[in-house]
Amino acid sequence: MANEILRMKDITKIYPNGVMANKNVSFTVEEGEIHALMGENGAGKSTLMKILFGIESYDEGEIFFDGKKLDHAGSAEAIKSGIGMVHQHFMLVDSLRVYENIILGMEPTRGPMIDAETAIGQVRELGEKYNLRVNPLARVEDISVGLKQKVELLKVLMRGARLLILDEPTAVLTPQETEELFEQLLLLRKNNHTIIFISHKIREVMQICDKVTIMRAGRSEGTIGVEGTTAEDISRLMVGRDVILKQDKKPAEFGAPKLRVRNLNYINRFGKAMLKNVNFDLRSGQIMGVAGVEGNGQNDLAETIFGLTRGATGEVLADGKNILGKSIREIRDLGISYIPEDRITLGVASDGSVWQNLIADRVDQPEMKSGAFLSSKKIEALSDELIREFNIRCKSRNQSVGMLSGGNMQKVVVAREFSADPEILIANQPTRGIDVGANEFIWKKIVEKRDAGKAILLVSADLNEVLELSDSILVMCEGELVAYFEDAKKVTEEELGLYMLGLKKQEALGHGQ
Amino acid sequence: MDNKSRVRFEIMKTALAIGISLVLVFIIIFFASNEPLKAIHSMLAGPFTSLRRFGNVIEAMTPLMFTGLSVTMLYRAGLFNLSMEGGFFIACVAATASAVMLNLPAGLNFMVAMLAGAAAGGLASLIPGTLKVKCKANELVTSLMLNYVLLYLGLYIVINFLHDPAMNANYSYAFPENMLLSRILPGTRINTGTIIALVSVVFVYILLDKTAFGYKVTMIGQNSRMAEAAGINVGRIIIMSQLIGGMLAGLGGATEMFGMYKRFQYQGLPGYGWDGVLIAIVAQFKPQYVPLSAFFLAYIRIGADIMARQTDVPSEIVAIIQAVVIVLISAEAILKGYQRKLVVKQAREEEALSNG
Amino acid sequence: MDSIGFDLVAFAFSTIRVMTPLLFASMACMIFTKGGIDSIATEGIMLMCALAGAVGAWMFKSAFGGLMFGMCIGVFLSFTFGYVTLTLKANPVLAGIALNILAGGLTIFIIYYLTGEKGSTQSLATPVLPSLDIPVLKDMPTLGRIISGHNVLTYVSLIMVAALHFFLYKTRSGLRMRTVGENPHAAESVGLSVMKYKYLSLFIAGSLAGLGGAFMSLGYVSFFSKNMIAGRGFIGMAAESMGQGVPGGVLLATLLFSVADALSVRLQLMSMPPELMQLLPYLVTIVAIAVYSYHREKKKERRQQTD
Repeated sequence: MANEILRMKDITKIYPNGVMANKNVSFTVEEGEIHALMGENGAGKSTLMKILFGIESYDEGEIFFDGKKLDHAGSAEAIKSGIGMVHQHFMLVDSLRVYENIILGMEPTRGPMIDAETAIGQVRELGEKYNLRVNPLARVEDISVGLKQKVELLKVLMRGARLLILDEPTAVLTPQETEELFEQLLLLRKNNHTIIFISHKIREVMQICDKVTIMRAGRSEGTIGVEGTTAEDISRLMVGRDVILKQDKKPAEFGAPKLRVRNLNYINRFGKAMLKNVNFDLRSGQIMGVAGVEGNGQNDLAETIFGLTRGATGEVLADGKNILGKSIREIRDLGISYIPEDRITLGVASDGSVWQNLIADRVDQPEMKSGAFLSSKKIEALSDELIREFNIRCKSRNQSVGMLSGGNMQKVVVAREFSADPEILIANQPTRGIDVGANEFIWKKIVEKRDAGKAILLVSADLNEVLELSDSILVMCEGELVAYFEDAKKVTEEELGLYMLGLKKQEALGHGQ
Repeated sequence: MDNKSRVRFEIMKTALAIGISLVLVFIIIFFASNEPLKAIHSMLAGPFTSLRRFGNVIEAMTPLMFTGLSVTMLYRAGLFNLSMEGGFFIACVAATASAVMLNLPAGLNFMVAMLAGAAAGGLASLIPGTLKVKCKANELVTSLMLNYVLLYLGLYIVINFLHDPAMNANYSYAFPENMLLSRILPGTRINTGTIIALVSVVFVYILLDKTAFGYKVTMIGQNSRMAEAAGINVGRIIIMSQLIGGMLAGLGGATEMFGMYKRFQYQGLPGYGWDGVLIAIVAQFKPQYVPLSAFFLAYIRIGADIMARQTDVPSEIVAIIQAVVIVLISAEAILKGYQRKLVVKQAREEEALSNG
Repeated sequence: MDSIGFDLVAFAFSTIRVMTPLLFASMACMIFTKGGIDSIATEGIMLMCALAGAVGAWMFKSAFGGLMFGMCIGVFLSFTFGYVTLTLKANPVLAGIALNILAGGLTIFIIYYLTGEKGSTQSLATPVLPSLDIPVLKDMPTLGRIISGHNVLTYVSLIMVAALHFFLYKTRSGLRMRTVGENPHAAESVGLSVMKYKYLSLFIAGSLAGLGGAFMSLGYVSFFSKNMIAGRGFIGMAAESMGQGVPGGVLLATLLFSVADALSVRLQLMSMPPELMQLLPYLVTIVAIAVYSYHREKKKERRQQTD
């Protein structure tokens, strides 16, 4: 039996805001294996790994690495014991050269000077050994994302890491770069390094991992060997519904198409194709759910349609007019509203009051004014009405939004966007991170809109939400639409999971024509 | 925190900052002066000892209100545009040029000169604002540099085109008599300029608090990405706010010229722009508090002048008060514990509210 | 040339002379910026140090003593600025403005108590830093007259540029300081203390501003007079920006300001309006910063599209 190198025992972590990110998680890794840690966003994978790396504290539990108990007062101890982490967002200094980034903090010196020659030699040698070839003298700002990741790997290896934690390393890579990375990981394993591979891409896990631990809602769902397991088994463990909320709604009555998306393509700033030839129609009276594992282009789709993301090609036709490239004001004036994925950065101004946030999209409209001035009477009346109608719990319309709970903050956004009376509503993760009460309320409001004949595009990573709320479902995987179900009732979550994880794909999509 | 407790917190912080700075200055006076009690007394009570002195406070307040309003406007959109200093100066030059070069009928001449000042100030602030929006150039550095461009440009114009050969120094020709703002309180030099300043306060208050434009500026300052997503044309509003902010400083320059001087006689930047930073901070970037805040600075300045004349303490000690007040009010970490207590208390109340 | 009153040798000499305080200022701003700290307080620190230099020289009866005292005050003020912005979390721009206002008033307050005057410390007898004749060079015909015979600190300032280049790009601390300034998370990810290197940059920049300030009252002239820094700290910010934070580039940008400054004095002597000449380098800076920022933005956008 192989040597156990890491044992995390009954780890519990409660964030200051009361969220329990890890609940009694136990996690064991054996030496020389590639061990996948899988789970949906928010399942607690990253938190667990940050705890291991010493940059996040924990409330209960113990960690043993190589037989020794870790006390953890910062990442320095983890690094010293031989644990290294490649973060999802690279921790590199852009203006420095590659070798400078790698030797940072452990620079070889000759007299008062950094011994650049030795340093470059060390980097080259290490690169040879692990087949991580980079030009040590290149500046980090000039190299590709794939190379940056190699630099991060070298940085970790240079510090003598025997256990490497890779936090979603393939999220930013092109397919070729991913393949290359996998070869390097296998080489590392051959050199007796242990790797923890955080991912939610099942194919990748099946391809290179030895074992997989699945997390859901802060708990470990168990560890299984990859050999002898099918992707379907893993998929089932991973995408099951945690809380089942039910939504009753009348049968849908689809009307005319409101929004037509044609040949939409978008390449992001890392050069990755986030939207690949996307085509679909959204009709009035329809809630179109867009399902997918996060990072597969759903957010890009929503932001491109609303004009927040620029640089896409193709056509987005709202009532026959192409809105691609139009300003947000023009798009809004055509009767399109948007609930953003991240309410803090795009949805509200936290320092602003509730009423200020409620009127942000319509401050120029006559119903907010008397003469040339803003009418506080009209604004107050509207605010109070929206606070009541959308059940926003606040002390008054003057309270700053930053002081509200997440659910109430989201209701402010929903109240603004719904009361604009849009013909088309794009709801991007409308209920993320909010309490059950607010969640149900927002669902009810969405269904009301649909019953009033509006068209709704619902982007959500929450399967329960997609299945309960949608009339029809689109599935995205790696920037492509891989499935379309005209009737959402005819699909099960297991089946959806197979499409989401790229295990199945519908040929020749009709896209609801 | 809701608005009321936030306002209470801010007032407490401001009062504490002013209190600490005064105590600090008193301590320094105690060690430095031979007659500390007399010094402190004449500083605190001096301005009230005669009408003329109290008049001095009001006179000193006037340019401060303008630059305080200017900084309020410039900063509301979230920019650090410091061009109000140079804008004030170049507006003085523009107003002077207009007053002594154009031979217009009296009333018209005055209007044109005031407008010239406002336009010059507005153009000044427009430059860093536009460069920020169009080129993403750091407005802090460009506006600091611009202040010197404006200083030398202004001096060049005055020396080469407006210089009165009858004067030894680089003074301009005297303003026509009918350009001077009329005095409104006998025994003082308080003039209609103060009224123009107060009208400007009302104007800025209405503009920022009662119009869609002011609302947009405020939202951009709080979260420009959200403002953009809400359909606000962020670039245009920022540029307009910078234009108006500069115009306020410019109007202040012109008013100061015709209210307090008979001819242009600045040899360097007068520093009112920097004072405006203190005024705006103490006023919490709210125009309605600008007169109060300007009164505070004018009062301690005049008080310090009186103290300097009557005792051995120089008036420059005011700079200590200014610096300490700015630092203490802008320091987020100060009173953080107190603020958190308020937040926690609030959260508890809220919980009780939703449970009950 | 002499017949029309323009002496190139004298002009070159005075360019180097006026460059000295500017160079200290721009090097201080460069180090502040490299450490990720706002450099707007350089102006005020230099003014306080100009006074500290004069007062120190008078107290210790030694110009060198004054210089050291000026440096100490520079480091003290720089650390204070660091504490206020890093620990008390005051807005750095506002705190910088506060320090500049404080320096303007406090220096006058102090000289008033020392001399009874508010204008300058001319009544205090203060020794000045010596000028230096460079042995072989001084005998060379033209070059000798330009390069030799400057104040000791002028040579120090030029050596400093090379030394700082060496420090920033060749030493361990320099590398770490640049890292902390550009991406503190990267520094933390390898276990470096961010605060330690922030304070290192405050220490070096404070010393440089101290030297530059003290030079004003101990070498440039022989006394302190009010507001004698006259925007040199701000020029330092501009030169840092225009030279894009590289010692060589910052040196060139500083030279541009110095040429314009020296030229304006010459023009004045020839009774030509010097003001337009004086404003030129500021104008060039604004244009340069705008063009540079514009290109950087475009480059970023291009990357987004083509990568």
